[in-house]
Amino acid sequence: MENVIEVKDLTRVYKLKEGNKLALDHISFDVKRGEVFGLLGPNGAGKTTTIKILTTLLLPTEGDVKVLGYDVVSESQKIRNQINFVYGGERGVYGRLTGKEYLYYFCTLYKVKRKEQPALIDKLLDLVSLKEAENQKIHTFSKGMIQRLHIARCLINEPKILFLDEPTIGLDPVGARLLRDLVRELSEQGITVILTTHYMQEADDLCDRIAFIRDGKISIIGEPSHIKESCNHLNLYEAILSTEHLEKLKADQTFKNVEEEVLKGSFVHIKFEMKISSEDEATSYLEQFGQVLKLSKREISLEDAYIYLMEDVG
Amino acid sequence: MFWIHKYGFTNLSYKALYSFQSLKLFILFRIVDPFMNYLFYATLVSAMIGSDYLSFVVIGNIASYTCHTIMINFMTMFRFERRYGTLELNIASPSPTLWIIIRKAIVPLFDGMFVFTVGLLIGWLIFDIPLPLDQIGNILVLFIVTLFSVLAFSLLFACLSLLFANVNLFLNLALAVFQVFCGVNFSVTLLPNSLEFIARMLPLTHSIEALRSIYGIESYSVYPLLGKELIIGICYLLVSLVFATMMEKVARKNGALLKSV
Amino acid sequence: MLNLFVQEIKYFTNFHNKMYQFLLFFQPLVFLTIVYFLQQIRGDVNTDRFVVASALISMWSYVLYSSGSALVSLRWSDTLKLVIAAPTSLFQVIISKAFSNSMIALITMVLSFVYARFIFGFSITISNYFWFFSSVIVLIISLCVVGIILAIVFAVFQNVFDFQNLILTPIILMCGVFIPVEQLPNVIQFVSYGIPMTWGIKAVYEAIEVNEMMYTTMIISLGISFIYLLLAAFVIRKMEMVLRRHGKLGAM
Repeated sequence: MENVIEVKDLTRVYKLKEGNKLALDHISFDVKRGEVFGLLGPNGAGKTTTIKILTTLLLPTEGDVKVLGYDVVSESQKIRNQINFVYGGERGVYGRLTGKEYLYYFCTLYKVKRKEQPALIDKLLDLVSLKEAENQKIHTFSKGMIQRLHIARCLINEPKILFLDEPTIGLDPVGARLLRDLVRELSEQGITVILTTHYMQEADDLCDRIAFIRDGKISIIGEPSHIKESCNHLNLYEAILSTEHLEKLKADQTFKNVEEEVLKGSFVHIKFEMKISSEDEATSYLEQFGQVLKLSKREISLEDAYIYLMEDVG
Repeated sequence: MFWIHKYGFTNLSYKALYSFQSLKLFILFRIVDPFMNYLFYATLVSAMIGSDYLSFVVIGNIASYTCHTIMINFMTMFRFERRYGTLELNIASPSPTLWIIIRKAIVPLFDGMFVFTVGLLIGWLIFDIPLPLDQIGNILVLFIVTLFSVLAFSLLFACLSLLFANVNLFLNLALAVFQVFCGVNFSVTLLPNSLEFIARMLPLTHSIEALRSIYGIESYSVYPLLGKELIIGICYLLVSLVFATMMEKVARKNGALLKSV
Repeated sequence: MLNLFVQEIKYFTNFHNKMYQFLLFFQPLVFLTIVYFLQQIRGDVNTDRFVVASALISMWSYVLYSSGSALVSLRWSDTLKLVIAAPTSLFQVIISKAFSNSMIALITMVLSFVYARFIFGFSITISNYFWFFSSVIVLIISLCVVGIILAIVFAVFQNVFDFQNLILTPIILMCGVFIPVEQLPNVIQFVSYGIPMTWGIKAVYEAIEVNEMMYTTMIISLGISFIYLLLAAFVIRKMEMVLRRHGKLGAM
């Protein structure tokens, strides 16, 4: 498959009063046509900077960035015709306009012929299920509706690549699901999607490939399954035990990333990571804190991999 | 006309970004407020040097207030774009940045037209400055030329506002300079030579002289003044063209497009 | 109380606010430049009045924008609740804000005089400094009271706040900054004399020329300011009760 995005040695430095901040440090990656590509990482890792550069709103300090074969520095106009982007949150809308008016506005900016505008807008509003709210002012919209309106907006120019920067942030579960379904649908139509998100499950569900970014560098890149495999050496357990010494257990350095959930009385469900790889040995170590009712190794999720890889960030 | 279309760019820009959307606001801020402003300067000069000079000052202030209206509201649109986070969405579209900026200017231009017309009517009805009805044609030409030069000058600020989150201080300073150096309240010939030279490079200066001449308050010939005003406008427009490309580049370089207010 | 006032000046005076910078430092310069060139048209203008006018315009605009939004801005930053919950009464808070703003407005008065003297070379003849300073104090008190009233009106009637700009010039015209109130139409005079600032401004002008009327004017100014202050205290106490009951200003 051909590459629609090629990033080589991309570096971005922000000049701040307190000195220079290195937001991206020689990162390189490619994205193939039709892929859903995830950029994951903690706040300030450089995800948004990457997206802003790819969408031509920010110039790289160093490095080669090509989108659809065009250079982001010198051929930004050619790129702008064929991409579009959405970022999370409630910004980027004109509250006083109705959903329909908002789309007309952007149709003009994207040079859609006047005759074709009504049909296109109808189709888009339908796609994002906002047909009924089309004449409502945007300031009355819920967060989920605003996000869907953004999706409708970004499809106006039939983009070949879509950039979605934390599109599900702050959405309720139903809204987030609607949006994920939309992304899947768009991807099936052959649109390349670049996605950033904090929700690992979401990334795991949607993305064909993922890059973890930390401190301006890519720490790992690959398919979600591949990333999970890279963490196979981790011993992740879940157990149910009856204990009076939960605090002591949590203080014990042998266990890492302990998550607990009190079931009833002294019964707790805990998840943790430890160096010991055999279940029997783990059980016997755990027994010094209470009675172990059940213990089993658990499958590595993308979240586990993320926590492991981002361990000492922030 | 293409811009009055219900879903047209201008109409939507007005609805989305303009502060004055009700009749009440329009009457208060487009009729009452300018009137108070004219009254302020009229009273000042009457108290200082007598009422003979009143029409001179009122005419000057009508032109100046029109220019204020256009510039302030034009810039406010960009401030709102930034506040809403829509500035980058506009810039990222395939439409050229300068084209977007110019099309957005149509709304404040209409506004300026209204203020100007109402101003002349206020002058006539309240300050008793007779409208030279036989020279309506000249007034119209003056009007178009002035709007053009003021707009060309405002474009510079619009370009600046791509780079700076809040250009209001620059704008206020510029407007204060206009108030003093464009011959709004006193003839620029009173200024020291060097300052008069600068004043003659600003928009509005020649227009105000021309407008007063049309009204018979000063006696210059109108068309040479308007010619100069037009040339000044063209110069600012050319500078703006270069400036827009430059500012966009710089804004992309330092990430200024993404800053919010 | 004094403490509160000092803190107010220290922490809440926002000299970084571009608009305040403009009003306090730049506006007198613009106005005086206009006056400078206008007086060249007619040689025999007594510029004293216009130097003072320059100061008054800036002082009034600063008070309008700063004190006027004192309460409204508390609501924006959501600290109004905290202020009401605090043991200091709302009245004390507002009065110290309004007073500190009026004191800052004094800076622009001094600045106007400095600009006038050293940049434009206007001579200002003040025959009796004692009475001049007394009249300035009277003026500051009237500005402070007006500030308190504005703060209350703007907080209670949110929609009036949107029209803040509209009262800027009419007040300048009505309070006798350029033309003495006696020369205004009767109807307007009637309103003018009800504004505490009118008397404060009158007192300053009279004190410059050591007019005998100045004692009376100062006493009237103080009296009117006091009446407004009492009225404000009463309204604020009422406001506080309503606020406690409904939990927000919007309830009014």
